[in-house]
Amino acid sequence: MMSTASKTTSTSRRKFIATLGLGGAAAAVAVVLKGQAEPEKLAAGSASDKPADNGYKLTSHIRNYYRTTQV
Amino acid sequence: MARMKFLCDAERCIECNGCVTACKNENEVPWGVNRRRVVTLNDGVPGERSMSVACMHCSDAPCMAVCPVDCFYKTAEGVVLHDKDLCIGCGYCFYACPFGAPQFPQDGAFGLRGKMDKCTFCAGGPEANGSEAEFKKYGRNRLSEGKLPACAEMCSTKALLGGDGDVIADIYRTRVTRRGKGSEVWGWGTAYGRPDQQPQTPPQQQPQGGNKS
Amino acid sequence: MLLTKKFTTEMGKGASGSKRLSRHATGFLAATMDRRTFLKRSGVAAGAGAALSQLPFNMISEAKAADAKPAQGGEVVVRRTVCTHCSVGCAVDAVVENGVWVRQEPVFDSPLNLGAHCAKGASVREHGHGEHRLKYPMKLVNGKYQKISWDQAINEVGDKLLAIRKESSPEAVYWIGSSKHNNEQAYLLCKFARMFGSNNIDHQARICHSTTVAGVANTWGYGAMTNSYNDEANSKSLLFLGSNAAEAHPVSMLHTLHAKENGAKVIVVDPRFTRTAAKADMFFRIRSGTDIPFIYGMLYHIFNNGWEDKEFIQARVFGMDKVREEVMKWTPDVVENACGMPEADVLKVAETMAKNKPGFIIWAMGQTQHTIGNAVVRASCILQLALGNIGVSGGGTNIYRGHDNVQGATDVGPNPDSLPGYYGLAEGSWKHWAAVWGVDYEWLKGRYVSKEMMEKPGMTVSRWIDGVLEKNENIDQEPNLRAVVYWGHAPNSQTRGVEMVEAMKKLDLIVVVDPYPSATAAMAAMVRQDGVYLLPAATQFECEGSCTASNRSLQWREKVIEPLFESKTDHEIMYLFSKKFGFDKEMFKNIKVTNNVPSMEDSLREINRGTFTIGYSGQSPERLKLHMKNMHTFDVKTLRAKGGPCDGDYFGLPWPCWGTPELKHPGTPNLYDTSKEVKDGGLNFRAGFGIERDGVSLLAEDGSHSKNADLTTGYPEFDHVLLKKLGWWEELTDAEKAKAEGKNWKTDLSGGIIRVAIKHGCAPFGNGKARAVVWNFPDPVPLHREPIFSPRPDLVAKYPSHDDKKVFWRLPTLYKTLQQAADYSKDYPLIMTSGRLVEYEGGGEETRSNPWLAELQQEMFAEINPKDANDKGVRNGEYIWVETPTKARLKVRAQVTERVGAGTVFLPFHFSGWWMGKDLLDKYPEGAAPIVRGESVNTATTYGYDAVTMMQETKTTLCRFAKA
Repeated sequence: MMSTASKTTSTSRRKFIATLGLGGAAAAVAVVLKGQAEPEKLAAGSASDKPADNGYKLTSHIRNYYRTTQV
Repeated sequence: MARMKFLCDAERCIECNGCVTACKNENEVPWGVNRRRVVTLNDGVPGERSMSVACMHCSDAPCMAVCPVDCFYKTAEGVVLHDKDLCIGCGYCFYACPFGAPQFPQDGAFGLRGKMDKCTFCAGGPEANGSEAEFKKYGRNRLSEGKLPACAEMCSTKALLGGDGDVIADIYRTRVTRRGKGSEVWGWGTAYGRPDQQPQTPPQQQPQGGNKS
Repeated sequence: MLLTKKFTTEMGKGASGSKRLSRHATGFLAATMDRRTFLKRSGVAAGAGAALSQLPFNMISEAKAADAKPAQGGEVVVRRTVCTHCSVGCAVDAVVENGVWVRQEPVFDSPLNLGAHCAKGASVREHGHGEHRLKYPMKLVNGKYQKISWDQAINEVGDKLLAIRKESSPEAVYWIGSSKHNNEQAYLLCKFARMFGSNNIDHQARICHSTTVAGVANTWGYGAMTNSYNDEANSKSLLFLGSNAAEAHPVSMLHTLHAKENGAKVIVVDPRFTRTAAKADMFFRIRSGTDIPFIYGMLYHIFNNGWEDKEFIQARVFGMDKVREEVMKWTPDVVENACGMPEADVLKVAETMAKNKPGFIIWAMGQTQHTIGNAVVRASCILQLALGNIGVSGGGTNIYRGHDNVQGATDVGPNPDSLPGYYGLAEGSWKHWAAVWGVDYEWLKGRYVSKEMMEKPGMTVSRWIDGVLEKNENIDQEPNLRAVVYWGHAPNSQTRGVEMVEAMKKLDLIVVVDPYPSATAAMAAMVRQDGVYLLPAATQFECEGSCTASNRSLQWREKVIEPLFESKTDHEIMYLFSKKFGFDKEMFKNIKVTNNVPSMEDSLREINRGTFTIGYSGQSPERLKLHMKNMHTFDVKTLRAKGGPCDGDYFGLPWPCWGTPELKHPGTPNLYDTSKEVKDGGLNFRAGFGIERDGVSLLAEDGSHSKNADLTTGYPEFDHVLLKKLGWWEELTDAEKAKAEGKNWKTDLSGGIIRVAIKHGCAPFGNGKARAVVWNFPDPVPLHREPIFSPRPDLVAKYPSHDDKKVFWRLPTLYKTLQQAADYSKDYPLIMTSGRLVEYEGGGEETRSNPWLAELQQEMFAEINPKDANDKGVRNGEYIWVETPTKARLKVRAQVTERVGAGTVFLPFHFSGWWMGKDLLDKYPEGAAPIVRGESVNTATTYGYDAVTMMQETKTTLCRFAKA
């Protein structure tokens, strides 16, 4: 079994590349919180971390979740 | 485009109901409506196994096929959602669903059971993402917030996996390889078809030992 | 692109073709019958009516939930807290908007739980709403609870307590504290009772792991879990003996299953086929209460096959040869006759443990709650000592504590026999704490009746009822108890409910301080018209402070929300009473009080300044907060931070975290691990039992020491004399010398002695041997003794209970005379045992008031084997009466299942609110009754107490049942 720390480095290259280019945890949290306060604005798609369809995207939150399932 | 799926690893599920209460909590699901539940087979005897079950967001969803008012729709990621404004509460979807997912707030004859309710993969409904109207009818829209369903995210043993079907299949395959044993993923053939492409492994071994008293 | 939103719903329509009705889930649901479906089908719908009015979906009814969607533009903050249920320590991020707890997010970064939660953890946000909470102070008037003000409550209760104190002495009041309090509150309550002038105070640890704490500490130094849940990932075998972790500590199973998937063998030995057993490689059933025959059966094979770790035993263990003599009496046939396990099975477990090292033995209440609990846990320690499974990563005794802070409350909280930090009650201990508190020793003494009573351990929570009911001439204090204060503790977790109600009748005053009315409110109102007060306390989500998980890691909770309704935090209530009693100045001398609320940071700093014994001295609030912010830097397998601001620390600074915070000790992840330096969390066994016994050295042998220690042999604990002899005294600073002169490592308030010892690689508490023989206990070598209510009269003759004790924790205590007064098994042929359910916790009022949990488990039940059911003509789902030798009768549903063996009846213990078939709904304050109510198993449990700690026997007694 791999430790948390070594997990990042041992993630396969394919997956690693797929996760590039996404915003950090702080950004994701900020968006979430803003979303609760101002739902209408968010629905209009003002945040850069949100693609137009507002559906699934591999955020740092989700990457962190996937990591915990593999520890 | 990533395809959203659920996978319950029965080797890990301990029937703790963390998923069930996570769902209740996040979506404020009322008493009596169970979008997710844990099913246990061979309760109390060797071979006991549990699985967390909810709407699997099937590829060819039978609910969509039978709905007389076409209230269902599917998102780009394969999440099966429905429109409560259109739903007439007929219950056909419940009879069609292989997972017993559709829930109704009341018992009763046709038309009296209220609007159907089910797991949304924490992706809300037709109303604007994150809006109050959406929350009241369907619960939270975590997917639009860059998160996954609360049930999977909070699973006590990481048995219930949710997310990109390719990623969770990979995670499961790694586990099975490490264990050197495993079992077919329950429900995947029914929900997502193409059984040849599922993460499959040899049959399950039962715990050894006696059951003496 | 498929459509997602309302205006674009065309494309999803009619896309599906095939209907797969054949594999309908409801089909297989009908074929199975588990605990939940079985109850639902019995037609129960408790609470459904009430809950329907709160439906959030406007398609069902108009949403009323206060938290549904706060006003736009509200302030949103995320506060990090920790689940308040079990001892795993699962972190929770609470999203708070305009002061309302609106959402709960998993904390993936927590190295303890990685975001995972069980049903209880996933539901803690409900505490932020708490519709069934006790909302304001109340008073019982003519059998009904009436609202009163806080002023009136503090004054009336305070006046009554002062009057009792004056008329009958401070000992006439019994304080029942809480393992639900955070460390600071638990510590303050300990101090509070002492300043009131009494040692009559206790908390849940008495009835949960007191036998562990005493038995294990007396074996090797500290009575706590040796390693962490996380460290199980490093093990090769795990033996669960007396733990159903899958229900009681669900998230720990994440680590257990990691181990299993990496090849570790998981073995469960239990009277029940538990959900933990369902996840094991092997399961074997034993008769309840026969852990020692099973363990000795294993040791018999271990010794006979030479599987013991001879080198380890020689260097680090005292008295193993004495144990071996006893073990050799337990031949396989004797073992099988006692516990029911055949030789082949016992051998298999022994061989698996011996050949898959390192490994753990894991236990909880299954070992502790027996009249011989102290002996059972020591037998477990001996097994691990024999195998050399102690002091290693991946091996040890993983003792799962119960409540979220029962470890911390045990360590620094309200115990009848000790001041904070296991200092005891001797004059030196009092002087130590008087110095830390900045109060005069003579003043403290003056608060008590006498110096004798000041140093005499108080009664235990398991026996307070006898403190009321026992004849005055038989008790070892002046007055009988006249008042009881239940401060965060359920009554239905204690045995002998029938007598408890008698005691409640007799008291002058009952006070409940709790977020919920608790079963105390209902039981008291059942038998009284007045003299009961209910004071609403806030939960841990409504205050800040630290809590200690089972692995000895401390975590700091941020305050999530302000106290709900009219509730106040426990420490504010303590402050208000201390003012009423007139010792607020002394009690809060070092602690800042703002608007009646004492500072939790200051309280922890005071704990830090005094608690050197167990290393609660290095965990300053600042260090703990830094850990909570940087969880992601800690490794899941080792718990150690790699880089970042906490570099080198172990998560939560697991105690002992030696010396002052400035020493920056990283905490001790695995106790007694000599492969590390003490400064890096290494340790050896404590030298706490002397230098020599029967001509044998009690110090570790030459060459056995923590890594890089300057002393390469055994050595006694450090004090000013030893430091001088070693020539290390001059390494102290002048300021340290001034404080350390005449002191030892525990009482030197400068921390200098500890600092210098660690600098030389030495453990401050010395380097001794573990004791397989604890000569100060009733059975120095652990002996099997049959429970008082045994199903085997033939074995009672062979393994009788102890002799009765005339004075034991201030009370006479029965063993043999009660055991041998009758053959109870004639009329009550079945074993009655109790345990936990995943949905509920403790006495259960809190969790049964949470609709998300209550819905999952709606009725009290008893598990009975099909054979016993058929013999009595009982069908699954029917009501039965379960009756015990106390004549108490419990009306419960029968769940007929192979989970229990024939001859055993299992009942969960979290229920209350029914009394022998009657629902007590009208005895609760209006609107504050739990949603789900049921018979409490402890209404019917019998007499029986551990011969060292007064632990109650809950796991093995007798019963019979009949169709209701």
